Amino acid sequence: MNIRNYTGEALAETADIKRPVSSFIFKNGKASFRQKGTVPERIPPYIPSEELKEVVRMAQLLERPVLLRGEPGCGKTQLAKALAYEWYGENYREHYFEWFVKSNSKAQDGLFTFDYISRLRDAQAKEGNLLKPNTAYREFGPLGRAFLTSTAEKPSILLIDEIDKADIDFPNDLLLELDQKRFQINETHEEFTAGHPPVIFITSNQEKELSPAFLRRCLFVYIKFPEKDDLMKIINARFSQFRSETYFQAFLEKALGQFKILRDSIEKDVATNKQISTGELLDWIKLFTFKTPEELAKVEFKPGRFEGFQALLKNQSDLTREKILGKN
Amino acid sequence: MTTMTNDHLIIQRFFEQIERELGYMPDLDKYFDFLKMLMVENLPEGAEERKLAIFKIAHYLFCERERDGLRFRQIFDHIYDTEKESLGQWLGEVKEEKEDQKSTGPKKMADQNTAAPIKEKKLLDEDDDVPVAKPWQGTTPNKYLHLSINLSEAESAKSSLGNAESYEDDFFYTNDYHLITFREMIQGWRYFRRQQPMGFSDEIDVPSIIQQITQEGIFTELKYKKALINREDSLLILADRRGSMTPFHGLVDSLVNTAKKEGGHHKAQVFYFQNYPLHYVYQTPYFTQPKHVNAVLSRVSSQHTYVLIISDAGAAKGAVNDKRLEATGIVPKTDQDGNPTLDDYGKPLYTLDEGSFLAELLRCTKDVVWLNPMPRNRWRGTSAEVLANTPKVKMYSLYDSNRLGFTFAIKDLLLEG
Repeated sequence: MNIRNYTGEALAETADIKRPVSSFIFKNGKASFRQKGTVPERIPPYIPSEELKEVVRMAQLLERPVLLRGEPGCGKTQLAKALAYEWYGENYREHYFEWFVKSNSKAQDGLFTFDYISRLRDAQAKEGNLLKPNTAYREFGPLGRAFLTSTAEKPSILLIDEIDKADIDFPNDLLLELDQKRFQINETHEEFTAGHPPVIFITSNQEKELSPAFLRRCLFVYIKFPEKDDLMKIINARFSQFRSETYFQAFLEKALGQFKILRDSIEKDVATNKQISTGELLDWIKLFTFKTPEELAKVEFKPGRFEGFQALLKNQSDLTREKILGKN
Repeated sequence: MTTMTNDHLIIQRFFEQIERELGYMPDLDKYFDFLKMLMVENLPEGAEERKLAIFKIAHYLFCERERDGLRFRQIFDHIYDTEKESLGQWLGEVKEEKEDQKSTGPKKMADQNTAAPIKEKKLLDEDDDVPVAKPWQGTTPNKYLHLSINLSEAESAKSSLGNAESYEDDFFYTNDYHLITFREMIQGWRYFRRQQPMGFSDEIDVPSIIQQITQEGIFTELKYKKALINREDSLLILADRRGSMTPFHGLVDSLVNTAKKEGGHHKAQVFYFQNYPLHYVYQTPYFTQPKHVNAVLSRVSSQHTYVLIISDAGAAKGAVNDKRLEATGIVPKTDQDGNPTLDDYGKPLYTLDEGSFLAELLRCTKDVVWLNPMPRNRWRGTSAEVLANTPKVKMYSLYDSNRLGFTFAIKDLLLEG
């Protein structure tokens, strides 16, 4: 059986691509895409940990969805797209489907929607004959599309983002589809089965507890805050134009040292549970990329003047932290 | 090859331990997946590296919550160290069979067996004519990957383990102290939400569109359903505190907290009393901020408010206490001459005192339900039994043997409503 590897090499640098825009067509039991044009897209670099690479392999071997958890901004959502880009390049959208769950999402929306209103309008029209077959009114959702496009050679990738946003029963409604990889459309009397199980990533911010029945079907990964070496790699990948600038590297060394003190002080503080994420750190570093080497040399982190702290500290109670930091 | 070693399944104790200590549901499918991974992965030879590799597989498969991570590691380390040898022996067998297959079997199968080390970069196994069926499925000729496990094996392992001496130092740990879990509480409360229309939603109201079409003959406009919000006056909780209820404080607090937070009854009124409400009930569990019962009754709706009384109703004391019953609002039934009426067995019959707080509560609200934390069989011969048998009073045990007491109480309320 085909087990594809994930190396993370394709997105070691920012990728500027011309992504084809295409519409999904399902005809005669076959899924295809009709290209309409291209749009420029910039995909930020993504450096996966060894853990993530291993779990991508396990997800294919065991055909189980991966439940990704971690602090907000740690890159849960990015993983699926990065993987899709590595596997399928510029045209990755034909194999990668996103389902952003909302508080009023229903499990069925992911599979298909049926346009009752259009059908009603067509049925009522005086001219007649506007009424199309029922299949013309159904539209496949991301989960449905992932099932229909996935093949053993080119498995699809599906991202179900923030599953905990929806109602408490939402994950349970997905169990059958995730287990058996098939679904029915009652309106058109159709049944579809996935040709090959897609690789499914589910992210959760742990706002609601997921049911044991749902959990037992998943593989579990917690994306941790990267260690310093990985952090340097991530920053240098994102701001690659500064990679060979010694002045900037020296500054990074200093800034990350201060950042660690700040992060540790939050870690130890029992009063807060909002930790600084990788995303926020990158924002903070970005501030300094606009400075000249002379300006950068003058940047200091001392009590009351922790430059750019607004990008890192978001809570009112954390703002006092900026004042005490220099003491360490 | 067998998955049994020393009379039990491979690192079976690990899974029993995480079930007992972390409350993870045992799952045979995942256990098989775990074995599959051990079989298809090329585990490193070094003892520490191998342990880490196996730990990682177990972690991805089983560690449900991040906060359990440390304990999970401890349990794994402990069990792995005691079962290292049997596991090593089993892995040796797997390897031998793999190699057997390699030397004797067709080349293609051998290719498949050297399943992909993680670091390999190219797409593995691009040959299309290699069977794509999963190698561990019994139908494929990969004998080494066929799991030989049967129920009697597992059963005998279980019973032999049950008697093992090593089990004596194991304690029974669970995360949930009570028979109903947090999730069941939340689910119960959420089903119990009563909703009222407010604002607009993006859901289409098909019945009223059809009605409009039948009236006017043509489809003219879309109609949307009204959005629903949770009623804020649907729940009133009266909780017994102290005395015989002391052991259940944790349970009552969990019920109240889940109702107010995840359960969706953010504005539910909660009042506390000891034994029975006597003119005043209290807004805190420490009996401060008293409120007169009439003030409580003035805030309820006879159409929408359901009352839950959480109390053992004297079941913990184990006797009928007439004084308590009277104060609660249950009085002995009397005939016209004032003599107590007896049932066929000579026991006195009881009835609701129409002037009592309980009777007033029943009149002012949609329904009243008693949740009794004592098991039903302990009600016999106590005030709780008398109360439960009084007309109009509904009482459920939270500790039903089928764990459904709370759910039943909620369902019953919904059916009535």
